[in-house]
Amino acid sequence: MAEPVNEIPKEFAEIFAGISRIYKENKNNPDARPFISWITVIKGLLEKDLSGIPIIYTNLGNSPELVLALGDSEGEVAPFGFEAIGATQGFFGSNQCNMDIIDLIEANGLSADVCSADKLALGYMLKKLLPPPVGGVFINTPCDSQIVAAEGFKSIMEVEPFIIDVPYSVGEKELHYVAKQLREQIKYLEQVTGKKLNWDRLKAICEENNRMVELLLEWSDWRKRTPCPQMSKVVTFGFVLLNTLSGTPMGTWYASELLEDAKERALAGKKAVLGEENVRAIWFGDPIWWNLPFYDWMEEELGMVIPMDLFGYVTAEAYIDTSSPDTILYTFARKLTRVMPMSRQLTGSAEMYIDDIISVYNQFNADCVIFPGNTGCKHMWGLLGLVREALRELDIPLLAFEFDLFDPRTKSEEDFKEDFRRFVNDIIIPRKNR
Amino acid sequence: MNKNDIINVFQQVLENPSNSFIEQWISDGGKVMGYYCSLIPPEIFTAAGITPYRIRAAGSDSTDLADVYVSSQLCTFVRHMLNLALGGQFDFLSGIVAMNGCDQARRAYDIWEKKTDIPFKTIISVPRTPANYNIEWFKEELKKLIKAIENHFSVKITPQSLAEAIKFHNTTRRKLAQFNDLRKEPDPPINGYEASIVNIAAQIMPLKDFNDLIDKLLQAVGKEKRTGRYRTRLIVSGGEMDEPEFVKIIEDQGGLVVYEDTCFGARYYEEPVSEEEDPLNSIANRYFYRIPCARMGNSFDRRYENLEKIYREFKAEGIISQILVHCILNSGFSFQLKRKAKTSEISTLLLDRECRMKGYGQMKTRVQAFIESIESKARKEDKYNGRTSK
Amino acid sequence: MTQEVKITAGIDIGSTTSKAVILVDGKMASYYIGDSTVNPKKTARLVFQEALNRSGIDEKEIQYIVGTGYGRAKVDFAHENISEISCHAKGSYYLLPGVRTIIDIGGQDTKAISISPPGIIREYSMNDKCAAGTGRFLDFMARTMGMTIQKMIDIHFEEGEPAIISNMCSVFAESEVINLINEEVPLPSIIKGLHKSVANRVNTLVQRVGPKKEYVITGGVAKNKGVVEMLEKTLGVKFASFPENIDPQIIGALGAAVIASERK
Repeated sequence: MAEPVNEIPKEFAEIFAGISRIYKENKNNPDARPFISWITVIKGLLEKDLSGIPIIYTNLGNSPELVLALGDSEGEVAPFGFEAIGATQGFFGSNQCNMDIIDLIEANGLSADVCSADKLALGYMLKKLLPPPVGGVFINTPCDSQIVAAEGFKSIMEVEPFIIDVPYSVGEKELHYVAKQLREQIKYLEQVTGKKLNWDRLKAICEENNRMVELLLEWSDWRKRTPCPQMSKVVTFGFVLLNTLSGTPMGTWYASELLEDAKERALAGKKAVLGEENVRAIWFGDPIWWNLPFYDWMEEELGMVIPMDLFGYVTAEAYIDTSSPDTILYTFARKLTRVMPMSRQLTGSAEMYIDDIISVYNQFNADCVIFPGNTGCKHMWGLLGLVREALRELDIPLLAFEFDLFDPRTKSEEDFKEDFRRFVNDIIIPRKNR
Repeated sequence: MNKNDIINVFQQVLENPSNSFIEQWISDGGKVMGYYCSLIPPEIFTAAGITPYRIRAAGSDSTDLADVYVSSQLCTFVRHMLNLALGGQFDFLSGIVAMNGCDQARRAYDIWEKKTDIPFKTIISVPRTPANYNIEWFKEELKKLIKAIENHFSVKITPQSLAEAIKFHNTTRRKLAQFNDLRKEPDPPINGYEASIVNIAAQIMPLKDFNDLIDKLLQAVGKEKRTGRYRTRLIVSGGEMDEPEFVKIIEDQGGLVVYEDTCFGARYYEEPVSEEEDPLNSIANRYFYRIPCARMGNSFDRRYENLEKIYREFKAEGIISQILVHCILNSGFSFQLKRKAKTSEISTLLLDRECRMKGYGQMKTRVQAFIESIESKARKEDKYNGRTSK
Repeated sequence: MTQEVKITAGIDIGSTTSKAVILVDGKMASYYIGDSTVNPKKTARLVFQEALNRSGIDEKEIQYIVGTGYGRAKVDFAHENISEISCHAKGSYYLLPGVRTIIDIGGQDTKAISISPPGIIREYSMNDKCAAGTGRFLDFMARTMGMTIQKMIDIHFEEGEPAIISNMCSVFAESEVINLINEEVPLPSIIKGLHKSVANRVNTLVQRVGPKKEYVITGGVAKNKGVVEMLEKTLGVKFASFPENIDPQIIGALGAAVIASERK
């Protein structure tokens, strides 16, 4: 980077300041343990010294295992989930900063319809705030914005990307097709980094992933309990966890923190909400990442909890079979396409999404479904009608609204609260009193 | 028949979802296959004896039925198309073939699939990057499509019938290329409005009827007087653009449209399929490796290179990159184009539009201002070169 | 229900008009409709007072007050505030127990609500942020055409086929209307076209909630016979009608008063 090493740009200073403030606010709160652990994880990621290490950008449908396994020892190449910077700013830093970045990239001609995760990523690139990469690996799931991000990455960072094509259909043939492309991706990675993929290390990294998956599966079982023992907002982090921390000890540690907290609280009879648990909602789309305190409000004010959301659940398909290089690539392809949040649900026909909602709804004993329509998520906006019909058929109440996961200007906090109060008071509570 | 008579016939073909030629074909016992996206090879339908029909938003004046299922966050092309489908206006089709062109069209297919009575419905998966190692996948998808058509319609699609279909389509392509090449002339015998009517008509009527008519048109245009005075020559670029009315708006402001770098324009007739090799391989190669559209990853450079080539060949003086509001993929292309425009000599206008829009007031102003800016640039250059202004 | 006479009030503070209803033992004693102002607190007090005056009941006699509507939080003398969705459902069900689908077209919001007995809300849908398909859209178009809403309704019933107005955005619809006027399209066609475009938009909202018979229409626009005619045609149904003394604009306030009477 051109800037002096110890000069932190003001955009990132906002994140660090937010982290310190939010850490202080939460550190003595026994209910906030998994949140504090998350802050610790993010802080660790941000403070990592990447100078001199070749950096590979990975987009939001990706998982870092292959990049982590480049070179004969740990840390020779760094994966960089570039969309996570905007997310971190939304979690802890300044929404104003994210809004300024969104305005900047839109002023440069990017349409407001592109997913704001990618608007932010390209905006931060354009502002030269992100470290220079030697390469970028992209996957075309979950959405069209990924293609726009790859093209934008290429022109702004002046680095040729590698793109994996995930087909529309789902099955074994498709997994072999993706696995074949992963072999090509390895060639690309070796070429741009000058490091060979170390299969023994890849095996160990995949085993690390498997430990994390095991913990997450057990964790989600504890969250099925009524009342839900653990705060809502941590489920939304599942996405960043898979996308950025899969196969790392830090990822495994965070998963164990989630599990232990949920288990201890459940056994102690503790619950997420302040009073009665009035409503259990399945949040099946993007979270409000610009406003994590909203989830606290929901729990306190409405007695409403999100036992699980679309970002938080993994399935057994996340296990990577480490018997041979072929099985690793085949099952890694399976993890990318059949587990990564949004990629799983939005590949193939509407049933893929609808069947998962219904299954999660049943598993987590929910009362209703939240359909958060992120402006840029055209999948969701195309699915809404069929989802409505399917849930009506099963008499499952549905709350659908438009918002932006990083930009408060699309739907304000007040409008959110109004919608949620109305839904709970007009629909859910009267149904329960029937 | 003179030029205007023939153009009028084509214009009527465009007006509504169905048209008299398609109706005649059906009443003679013929079948029609609807498809969307320019990466689906209509040669396959022709080889099965089925007339290909490119689905568009013809004659739609509402999106109300579609909006029950999808939101106004989707583009109006998709919503109008879906509206017609839900209203039963595509019920004359014997089948539709969709693809994973963009997320919005894909989601619309979910609804077509569940809510319309069209007997044959399928979707194919076309790779998002034209990498060599992915072409096998595309070929497999085409084979799967062939099998599905054979089974449903009880027909055989043989290498022979495919080869014949390729020839048939190439003939149309050649005629269209010859026709559109007339637009390279300094004072072309056809304007962009007329040309876009013809280009679209080719995709929605039986090819034989089209070929007969375009032959007559090619004869007639030679005798016609020229298009007349225009202030500048423009290329229209972008994705789905099935509305000659939009081209007319540009031309009414004085900008002669000499080329449509769009799905219903050149993307249909440019680049013939090879007649030399195995027919299915040739089809796969043509569609897979062709000048990419915005849905293809890592495609901008090739597309831009092509745009520059066309720009020179057609002696254009500006590019209008039109995108439908809410189109993510083409807005990505526009973003790149805008970045390029900073260092390029080519004047570029990014224009958002809605499909089937009425009242083009604001658009007229933007186009007019763009034409004025091209003119003033030209004047400056002339002055710089010591010439008098045009 | 308790044995004693119960006197309650419902106050509905909308974006354009505000309404108050006084209910005595389950019967409507009086109502009042007034314009909303920039000061919803004052408006609430004013419409309440007017309704009281008309009923001859003293404020002290009112046992329970429920506020509703856009400005419901500003009804500071209410015991409780309830969303207008619940109130419209309650008010409609109270008068017409056969109703399953309620269409409420107000100044700023248009809603479709599907209910099941006894007035339980199953689903609702509302217009997007824009004014398409609301009373405000019609006001805006009336201004563009330089006439009153009543005049538009009168012209609606003159001979003519509806013109096509394809754009629902007020700004673009205005330019479409101006184009039609310039093209000398007859006024009855333009006005029918506008009413039809509102009906189409509302129909989309209605279809989203899985509608069932019977249907009823409430809110200010329920009094616009032009829109109602178009909407009935589009939906292919006849709306159930409220008793003659009931103004469809007061259903929200009435529902609020009914909810109030169920309290304690």
